[in-house]
Amino acid sequence: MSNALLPPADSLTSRGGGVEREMADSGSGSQRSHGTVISRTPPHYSLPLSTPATLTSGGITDRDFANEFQSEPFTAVDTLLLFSRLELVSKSKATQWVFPLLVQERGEIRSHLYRALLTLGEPKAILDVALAAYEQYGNEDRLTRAASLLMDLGARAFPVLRILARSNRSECTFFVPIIAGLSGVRPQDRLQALAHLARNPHIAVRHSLLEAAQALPSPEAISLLHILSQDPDEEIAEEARECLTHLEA
Amino acid sequence: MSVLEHSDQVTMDTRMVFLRVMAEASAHNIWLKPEQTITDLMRKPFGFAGEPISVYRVVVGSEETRAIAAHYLTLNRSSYQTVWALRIELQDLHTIGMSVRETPGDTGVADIDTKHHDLIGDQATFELLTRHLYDRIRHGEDRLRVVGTTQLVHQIQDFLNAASGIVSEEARARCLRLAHLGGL
Repeated sequence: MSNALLPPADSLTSRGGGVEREMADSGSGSQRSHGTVISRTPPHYSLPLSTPATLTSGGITDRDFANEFQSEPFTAVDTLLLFSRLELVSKSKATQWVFPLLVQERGEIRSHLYRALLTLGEPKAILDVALAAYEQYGNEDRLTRAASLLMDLGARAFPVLRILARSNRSECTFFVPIIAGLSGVRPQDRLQALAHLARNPHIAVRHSLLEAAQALPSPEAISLLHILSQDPDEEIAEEARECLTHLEA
Repeated sequence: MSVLEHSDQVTMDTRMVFLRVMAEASAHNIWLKPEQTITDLMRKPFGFAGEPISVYRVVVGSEETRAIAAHYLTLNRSSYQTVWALRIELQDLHTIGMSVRETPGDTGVADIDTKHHDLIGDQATFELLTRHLYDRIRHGEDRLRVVGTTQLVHQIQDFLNAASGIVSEEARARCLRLAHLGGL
């Protein structure tokens, strides 16, 4: 689905996919995980190891980061976080570089990457890079990892989730439980976003909403179930009516 | 051996499979419909980048449900939703020449994290795997496993009752949130 569904100010950029490919190409020869049964060709490092001092003088690029990540993944991530604190690289850019690795890595480094993304705290960048990369490369892990991060970021992720809810994208299905369960969101704001999802053209989104509604407090659940009880898909409409009967009894 | 015991042994399914757990409730339906394109079928479970694909090597049945519930914790949700999984057999991988490697899982459930593996292949190999699975399903093989909210609730409670050391603190916190806010 095209990003053109969203207005320009809200647009979820396509840059993420490009970044992901650059990172994947750069890291295609890495030996990353424990317990490897098969092996890959070791990477060729074209740049020397960067240190905070050298990078401070010359800035840091995604290529620098990718190269350093191949040899010293934990240090590379920590250095990037330091650079973002010093405003030598934007948090948004750093997020674009780190997020793709979250899908590819395993074990402790994955946990470290996850924590780094929470530290960077850029919900819009997370959603942008995840959606753009999913559009280009598929693999729903990109969306489930992004959804998990947004859940951990809490209420500050809600503005981007609200934009997503209005987008009519099919990918909303992965974020419905997060929008329904995010803490610290005003009930009327949540309900407004969920009501948009109840009119999403993709059945899977509305089906997901039907399940999520059952965990909501009664007033919100009843409002949503009323909308879903008029759903063009008879299965969804019937189940919504059954739930309503149960709740209103 | 009684007739009942004999019958139990005959019907017990001890197949070992690699489970690819999927988060979107009704997305398994595409695998049951005729004339789907390979591109559409592989988009969500495998993608097109030829990257390692996370699976769990488990015995069909309750261990399968436990792995799916443990994976559910990584979705970081506060409510229960139906999930499903593709069953991939070792023979499938042999047939198409796909590799698998043992890697650590991150569910926080110790016995399930030790069963985590990655499928390794390029895009063409994942296309072959997708085609092969679609073909096996078309021939009537049982390659889709759906786990509903009732099974998830039971497993999450099981994780909460587990002895210390089995479930990490973070996973336990996610279980508690589901138990308190899950709506069931």
